[in-house]
Amino acid sequence: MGEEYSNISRASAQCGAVVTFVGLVRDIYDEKDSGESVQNIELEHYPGMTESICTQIIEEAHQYYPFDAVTLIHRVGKLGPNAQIVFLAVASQHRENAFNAAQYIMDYLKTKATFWKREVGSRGSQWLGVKEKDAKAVQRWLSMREKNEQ
Amino acid sequence: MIKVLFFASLREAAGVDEISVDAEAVSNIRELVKALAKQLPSELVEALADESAMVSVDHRYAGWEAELEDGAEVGFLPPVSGG
Repeated sequence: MGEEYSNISRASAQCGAVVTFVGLVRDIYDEKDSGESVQNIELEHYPGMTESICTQIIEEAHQYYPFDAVTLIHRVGKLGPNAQIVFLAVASQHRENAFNAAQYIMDYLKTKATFWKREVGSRGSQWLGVKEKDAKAVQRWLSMREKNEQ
Repeated sequence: MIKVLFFASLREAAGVDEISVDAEAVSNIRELVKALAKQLPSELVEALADESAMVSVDHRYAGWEAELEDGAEVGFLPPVSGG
């Protein structure tokens, strides 16, 4: 992670801000105090389409919130609690675009990028789907875009 | 031929991750699903019945009415959950 940050922070002498995000595997289910635990997750993806969709999401983010450099790394396979799932770094001249682009990329990644996560734990094994809050987050960007275009 | 790929829960329902279908027999996604119903488990047919699964053609999201050409790659995609 340190190396990735170091690389992107040197991407351009004009960069005044780098926003980074790391998504981790939790060992708990979404409901609080369920007393049950997740042992690991298994992540799979659609090779070829995943890269294509992620590129498209990054290009869209750049169109609305121009930035100078981006790094997006997503792991697949079996991952245990606390393992890093996704790393995103966005570098821009000022912090506003770096924050907005990072949020935009993550919101769309969660709802459009062809990754599938299976939780394995005390409840057995189950595939996860799009969470309502993630779908709402994308809706927020769409509403904002429509408002700006009016 | 049309290459058909299944992912995650839909792969488990299909019992296979990939299948080829004669392109002359189907011209769109709905016809493809009807053709798949004849050779794949009822679990898959049930999972696709309400058309809530996302579909891709050649690595792009597509609608269920999307036309298919010989050589196309179709993906049946359950709700995603990356990040």
